[in-house]
Amino acid sequence: MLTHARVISLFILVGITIILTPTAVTVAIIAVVLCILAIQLRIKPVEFAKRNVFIIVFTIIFSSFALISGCLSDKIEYAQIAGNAVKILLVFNIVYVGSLWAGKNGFLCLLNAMPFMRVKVFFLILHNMVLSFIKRSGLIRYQLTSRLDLSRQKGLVARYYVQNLLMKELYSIHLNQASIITRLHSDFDVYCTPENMKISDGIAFVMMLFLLLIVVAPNILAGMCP
Amino acid sequence: MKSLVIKNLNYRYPDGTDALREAALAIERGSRLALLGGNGSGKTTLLLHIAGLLDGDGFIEVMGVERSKKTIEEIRRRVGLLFSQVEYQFIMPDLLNDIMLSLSPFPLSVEEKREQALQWLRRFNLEQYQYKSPLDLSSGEMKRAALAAIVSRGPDILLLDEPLNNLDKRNSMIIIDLLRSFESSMIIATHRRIIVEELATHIAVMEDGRITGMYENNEKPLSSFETLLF
Repeated sequence: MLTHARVISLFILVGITIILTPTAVTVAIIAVVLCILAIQLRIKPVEFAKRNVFIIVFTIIFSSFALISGCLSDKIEYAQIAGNAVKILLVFNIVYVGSLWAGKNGFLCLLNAMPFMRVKVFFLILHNMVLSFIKRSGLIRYQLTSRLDLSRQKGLVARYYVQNLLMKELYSIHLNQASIITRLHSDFDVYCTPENMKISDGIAFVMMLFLLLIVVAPNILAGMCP
Repeated sequence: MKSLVIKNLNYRYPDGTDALREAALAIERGSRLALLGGNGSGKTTLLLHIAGLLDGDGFIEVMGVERSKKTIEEIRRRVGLLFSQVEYQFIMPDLLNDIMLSLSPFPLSVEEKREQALQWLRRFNLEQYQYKSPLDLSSGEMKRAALAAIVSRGPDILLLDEPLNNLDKRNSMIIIDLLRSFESSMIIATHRRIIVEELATHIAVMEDGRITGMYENNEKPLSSFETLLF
């Protein structure tokens, strides 16, 4: 039940962030919720910053392109560009912190909710692929740093290494599919481990309810009474 | 009764390599066949055909069921394949759910499946890892976990591709002892002497995609397979 509530909350948070223009109140409440969850999950600030480096660079590039295209068409919408940048950062962090909050049980709960076996299998393959790639990323980095030595003109070796890496990834997907063909013959059940609710869970749920009341409800009412 | 009959099986990979040439094999129910052969002799390709993952020309009959497009699903249900790279064999994010997935064909409730899965984990001495990702286990534990997931389905034939890959002697013996406790027929593609000495009832030798010899264990001295075993 708790896992279900966590997963649903995450969908609501992402939905609000994407659909509504982020106001200062929305951003503040979501930031507080993320902070509470980060404390519950014991995510260190350094770790949090590291994970955000890539998405910050992406957001800067994305916003720069929006500015350039605005300049070219003589119509720069600063508010929209800033709003989109905030949305990207918020959604990334909700997914990052939220996936840790919901955890493996959250993934299993989502699998259970999927209506067709083929959809379940697709998500399983995707999950396995991403997980095994993350697990091996350290080894891949060591291999690349040991070979990527341009001073000794080993750039070529690194290039072929990347090609081989991609082939190996494709081969691992092929083996994973073979395993599914040989092992899975009918729809399957999933067992989620029971979890205990923590105070931080309660605070996060209350904050989200508050967000629904002060941000979403007025928007809905405004839509109903133009 | 024969649990497996293969006749005139041919297979060519898309790159033009002839992997199987008129391969023929028959094994009795309950026998444990060690399939020996050099690298690239066609052992894994043969196992993939029996498991219904490759579709070459020829005759394959598993437990009296002849392979065809209509029967391929039934054959896949009757056969369990342990990959040489077991890390790709796991489907679910934790061990308990992975074993439960193997139990999915049985008409049981989630709680009953969980109980049975726990029994299998206990038997393989893996109960303490039930909520762990299989990828976080050591090589020996991962091999045991993969084997538990295969045998829990109750296959009639077990196909084991290098089951002792990356294992030390202690873990090898644990796997061999577990395998001895099952009554299923087994085909074990291997280069390890310990499998022939401790587990196999029969030996078949493959060369260039053909079965060139089939013997009862002890029919020939192990020294005659010296180049194929270590």
